[in-house]
Amino acid sequence: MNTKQNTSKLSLDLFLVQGKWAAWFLSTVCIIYVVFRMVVDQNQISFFPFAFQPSKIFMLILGIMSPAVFLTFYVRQGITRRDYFYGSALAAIALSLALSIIASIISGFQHLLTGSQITVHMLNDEASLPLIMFSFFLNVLVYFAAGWLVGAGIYRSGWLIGLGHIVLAMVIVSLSDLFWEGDMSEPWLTFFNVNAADISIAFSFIVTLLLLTGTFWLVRLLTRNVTVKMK
Amino acid sequence: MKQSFDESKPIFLQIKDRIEDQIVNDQLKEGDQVPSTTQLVNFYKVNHLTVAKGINLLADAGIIFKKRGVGMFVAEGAKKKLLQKRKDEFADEYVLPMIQEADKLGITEEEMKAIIKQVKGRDPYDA
Amino acid sequence: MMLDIDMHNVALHYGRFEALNDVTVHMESGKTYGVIGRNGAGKTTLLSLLASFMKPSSGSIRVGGEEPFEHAGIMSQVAFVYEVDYREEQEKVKAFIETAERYRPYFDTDYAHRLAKRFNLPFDKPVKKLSSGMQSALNVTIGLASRSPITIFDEAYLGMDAPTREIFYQEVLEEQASHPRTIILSTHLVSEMDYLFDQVVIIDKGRLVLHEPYDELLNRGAAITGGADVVDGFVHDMKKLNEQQLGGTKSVMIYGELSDAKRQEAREKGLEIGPVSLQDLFIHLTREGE
Repeated sequence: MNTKQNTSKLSLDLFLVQGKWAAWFLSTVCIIYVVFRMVVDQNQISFFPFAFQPSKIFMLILGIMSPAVFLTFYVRQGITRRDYFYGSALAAIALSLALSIIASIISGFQHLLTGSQITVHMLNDEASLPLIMFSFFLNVLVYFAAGWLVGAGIYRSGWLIGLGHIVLAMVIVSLSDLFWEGDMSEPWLTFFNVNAADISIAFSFIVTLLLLTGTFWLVRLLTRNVTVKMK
Repeated sequence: MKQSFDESKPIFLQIKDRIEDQIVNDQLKEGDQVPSTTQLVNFYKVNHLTVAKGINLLADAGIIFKKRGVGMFVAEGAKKKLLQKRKDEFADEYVLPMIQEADKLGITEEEMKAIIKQVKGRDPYDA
Repeated sequence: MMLDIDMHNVALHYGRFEALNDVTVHMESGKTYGVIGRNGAGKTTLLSLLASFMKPSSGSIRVGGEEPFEHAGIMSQVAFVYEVDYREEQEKVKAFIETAERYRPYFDTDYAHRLAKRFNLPFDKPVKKLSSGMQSALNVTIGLASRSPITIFDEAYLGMDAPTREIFYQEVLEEQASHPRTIILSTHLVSEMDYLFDQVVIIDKGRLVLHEPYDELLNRGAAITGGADVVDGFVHDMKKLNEQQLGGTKSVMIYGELSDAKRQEAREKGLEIGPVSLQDLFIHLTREGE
């Protein structure tokens, strides 16, 4: 059996399954957003930044679940760990892209209806839409990768050693957040004594891409020869 | 079905005997298709190597023949051959044990003849 | 496709525990293998190595001459059926069959549907809501319909009632006749399934005890029955598996080929030579040293 064929089949299947979950997730976020705007919001936050944090957490959870849910399942279908890895990575990339596009579309509708701007708090207000979308995409993907690292660590070595992977994943997301002025970056900012505003966007992209590549590579190392759980 | 075989004889011989019985009783007529090995295995719950051994004895003796890709069939003249064989074996299988038992009990040849006559004349449904 | 299995000095350790030790076995393609062993003997470990669920600690495994681990061409041809934990499985029976159809190169959908019907599998029910026997029937359905050149059933009958097991056995026989492939059945229901086996592999405490054709193995076992003294004299230099005595009559189960001369001698001494079942051989061959 052709492994290229397997990888694309698997990534399509994973994208469809996880996409279904993402649809539920986004619908829920929409409802919460509407309620939130009607009841409490004073600052008139637009949908795009509102959906940003929950999307990161959603992708983190997908990543954590992936090995336990899908690795055993697909090896049982005669798929190699390698094809699982590439298929899952592709599916996660496609899903992150889809999330950022759909969030943009919803924000676009909001813009047409209410005239509010699409912004993200980590980019200045003049940032172009593609740039905003791409940063959304990269950020949620980093969270997926970090979750995947945790999931793979626990799948391979159990909870105790898995804790080590959780620490590593926290370092990765907080490093990424540092470059995007996220929530977990406070300790790093103090540590390096820098101001997030001084970091250039291009540099942030490069560092995030490096982090992503490194994390995916670690996941591949962890799952390459992993014993598949029979359950 | 397994329990219907006894331990006195290897099971492959008992399988062979059963097919022979069916031919002698006309349940399987000449030219008829014999059940496949898989059907026999499924029916008797006996390993197919065992079934095959029994079947091969029948094929070697010319009682059945195999058509590749089609199945196994009762050969022409199979019944006649079987009847002849059973007649040949009659003395060894039935008469000899009877005489041995009769000797043990002190039954004379004359007495035996009388018994045979008596049993033969009996209403078979009144046994 | 001919996919012979070759295991050479295969060992698998979990920490200090030796699940498998020095197993060397050759399995020719196209036959039905019965892998039997007591609980914890290493059956599942052996089979999951073939399915590339893990790598051996040492030794080599070849399937069709290739190392199966992470080999996409081999792994897609090996189907491993075991009792899966479906407690969280929301998907429906239909989706399971469709997934297998998508990833198994020789999958026969019509056959899967026929089997599902025979097993009374409800297509639109979530898998987690099926009884354990029905879940096993689903696993077996997918395993059989995959028509994988190597199909492994690791105690796949668990939870099935007797009539359902009977359907499973019938299908194994009919499939083996119509689409010959390597079928490996691990079991401890030996007496119920032994008629399915071409070859018998017995493992005990992680080691291979024997691998022989079913008929040759059965020929090796015999029960010698007669007067106690005569029996003792007859079997004194043979490998004895079990002895039973009732009054002056003794029955000894022996393991090893009986020569024609020996058989003749037994007849002359008035000893009875009876057959031994695979179940009995298994019980007594794996009881030693206890």
